[in-house]
Amino acid sequence: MTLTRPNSSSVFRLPRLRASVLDRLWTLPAALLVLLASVLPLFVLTKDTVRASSVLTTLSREPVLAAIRFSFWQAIWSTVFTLGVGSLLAWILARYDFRGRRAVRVIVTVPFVLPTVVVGSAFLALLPTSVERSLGSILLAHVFFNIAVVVRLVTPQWSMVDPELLAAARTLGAGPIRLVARIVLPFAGSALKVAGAVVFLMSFTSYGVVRLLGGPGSSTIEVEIYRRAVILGDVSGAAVLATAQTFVIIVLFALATRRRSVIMQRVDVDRRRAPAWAMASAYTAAVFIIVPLAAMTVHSVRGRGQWTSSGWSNLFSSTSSLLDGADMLSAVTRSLLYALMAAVIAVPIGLTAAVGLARRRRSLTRALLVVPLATSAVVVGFGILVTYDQSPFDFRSQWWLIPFIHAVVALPFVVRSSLSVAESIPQGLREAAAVLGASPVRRWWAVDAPLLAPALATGCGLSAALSLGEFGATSFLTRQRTQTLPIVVDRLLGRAGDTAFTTAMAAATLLLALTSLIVVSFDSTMRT
Amino acid sequence: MNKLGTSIVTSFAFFCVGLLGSCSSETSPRETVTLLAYDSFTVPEDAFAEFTAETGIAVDIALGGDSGELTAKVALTSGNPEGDVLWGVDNALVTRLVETDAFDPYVSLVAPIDQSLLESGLGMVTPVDFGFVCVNYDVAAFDTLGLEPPMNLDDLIKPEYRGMLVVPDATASSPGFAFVLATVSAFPETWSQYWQQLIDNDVAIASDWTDAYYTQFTRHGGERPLVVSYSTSPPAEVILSDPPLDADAPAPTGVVEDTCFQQIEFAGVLRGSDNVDAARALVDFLVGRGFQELLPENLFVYPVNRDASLPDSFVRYAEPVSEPWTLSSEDIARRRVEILDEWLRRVQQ
Repeated sequence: MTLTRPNSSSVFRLPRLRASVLDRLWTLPAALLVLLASVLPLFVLTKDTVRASSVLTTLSREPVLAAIRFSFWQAIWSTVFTLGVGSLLAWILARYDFRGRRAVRVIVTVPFVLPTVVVGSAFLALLPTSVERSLGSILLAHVFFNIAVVVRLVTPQWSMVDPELLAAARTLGAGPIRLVARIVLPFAGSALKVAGAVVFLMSFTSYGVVRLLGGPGSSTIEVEIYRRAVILGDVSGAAVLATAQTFVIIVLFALATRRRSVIMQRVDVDRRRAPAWAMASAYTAAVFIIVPLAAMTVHSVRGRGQWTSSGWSNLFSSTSSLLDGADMLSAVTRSLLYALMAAVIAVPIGLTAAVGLARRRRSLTRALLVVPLATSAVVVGFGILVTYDQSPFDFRSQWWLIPFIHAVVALPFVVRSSLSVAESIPQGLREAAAVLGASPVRRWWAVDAPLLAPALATGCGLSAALSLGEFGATSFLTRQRTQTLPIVVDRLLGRAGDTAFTTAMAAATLLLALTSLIVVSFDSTMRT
Repeated sequence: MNKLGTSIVTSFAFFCVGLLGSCSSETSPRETVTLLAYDSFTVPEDAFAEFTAETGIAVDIALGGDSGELTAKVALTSGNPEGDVLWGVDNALVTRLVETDAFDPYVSLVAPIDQSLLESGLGMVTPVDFGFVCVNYDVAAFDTLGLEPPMNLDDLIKPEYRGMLVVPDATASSPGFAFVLATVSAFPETWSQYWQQLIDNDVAIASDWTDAYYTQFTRHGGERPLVVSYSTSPPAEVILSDPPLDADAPAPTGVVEDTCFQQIEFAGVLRGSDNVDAARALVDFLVGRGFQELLPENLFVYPVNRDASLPDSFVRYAEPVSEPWTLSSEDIARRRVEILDEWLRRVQQ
């Protein structure tokens, strides 16, 4: 059993090798990708539409101020609750063994990569009327969608806590509060901070959940951006808000994640049998997540109080007239192709960026990698329309634009998930290889690459799953020939009639199945 | 390491195959005209086969989000559009595009179309279909309640219909906004107070049409038997019913005719199109009898072409509303922001 306290390895680190020119280039592709796909469109849209005078008028409007206040405080509460519930679950998954442990881990991961448009209505239908359309329902939904972030980031850290350390502390008279404060939290300190920052970011920029569950009274900045750009025709105001939102998030994120992420060591903890409270909590969390998803599946085969197969048969027939004959099966294969392409783009770029970031801090690249998460999908969609609109750079109708944007959306997550792996590669190995005369390229191929293999698998799975579920940006760039599965679900939900609804639910269930399959397959490559 | 190498090589092989496959399918030798449409534009795949056969021009359909999103995109790309022809901007939004100079004026006169419809296009665009946004009621739910459905807007604020109506958010959905316009048209001075009375009568505001219709309307498992939807939702309920309804069965939902607002949709040639002739030919085709007859059962709207006949389902379940509430395109454009702000102020209280 190899147990290592976090950060202890860095104490013994040898001085770093002088960075070669090659080393400096690691993060360049990622930075370029984000610049071209997120920063430039936002900049061009702002430059084209915003006049100096509109900045102040936009930011002083009462609905805008209300949206800013609401964004902050619902995001703070969402983060508090998600961290609370998520850490409890992470501790249970890290410390205890019980039947279905792995299934629970997969189940809590799935909602994060599913689009709101798909699960939102199922979620809403299950809420009791009293909490519908209230802050409570928004918080509940944010916990539902984001709990994966906490569980995934924190579980590995707590798997490293030596039970003997806890036992020793207890013998010395430490009470539970002291144990948590002095041992448990410090072990996961930076992972908790990163998780908190990501959850805050996801809740702060929340669009679908707030629209669906908040009612017309509550709008976040993201909802206000949409309202200004689309409903009121005030693209200038929308661009002002989008720019402001992006800056705020970059700053907050930089503050929250100033420290290096924790070095992870592979550990084989002997997990104890779970006590009743732990099993009950884990199963409750799983049920909380499964119920809306199961309801969706049931809706795909049941309508008007009886069983029906029309939803599924429509999905797999090329003659159905539900959606302009563009048969839905081709949307499935297209979604899968895009997911594959997104992975092919995001994973190599993300991995090399992670390697670069592991070797030296690059604050600029770190900040850039937050941008795709912080910029509003509406504004990026509009930005791309006005940025890449001149031949030979008129990309607006290019089919590859969609998987390309998916890759950009997935990139921050790929980098984040592979960074801890990249940082855990002992510098000593590279140095040993260098001493033995290996060139930088050979060092990379013989030392870094094999150790990064698990991150490669995780990155592929993560980016494929995120691409399958991406809705916001896709809906702005889609063409009939480029419809993906979430777009099909959304279009079907826009029509009246039983068959349209069951077919939408069948498409949503298929998306759920594909996503779960991907999550299961990359879950097995992850530690703990 | 070998495994890693293999997976990288395989991934790139897939990528290259994908690229090649798509490139070869992209290079179509025929002339192409691109039709931009909202994403509920659902016509059969072969709808344009006749057009392509006659003119040799292929039609590419680009979906652009819902009608609001589509309008915003077209306004933003005015002069350098993503397509040649725009389908589906409605009378609530058309002036925004006229003001941003997005159209190359073209009114197709090849089909017999009512003068009032033509005029609402402001001489810039051609009307292609119309429909009505109305309060729908669930027949079975009212039978169970032993209550007559409401007859008009005034009934909706009566205590016996308390807590029964759900309306899509007007600031986010086009039927929601259309219903607000119906109240503006019916109560020009007092519509805002009317909304206060609706709110006092416990009206629900849903985030969009899907939420209102599929989550909150009793017909689909919700708790409210009145919903703002379309006059053509009843035939859609019949055609897409599962299990199928008997041919002579009554529609499961009905329309409160005196709450209907007329929506007119237009097709326009976009300024900056590099193929204006083809674009105009396509607009002519869109108002032609063949294409117009596809509209009712695919888009659930009424044809503008007077020669186009309505299918049985429409004759039986959805005759056009004879006296809908209306507002001119100019009026809507002028008061749009003011109306939305006022409405939002009311519902946010």
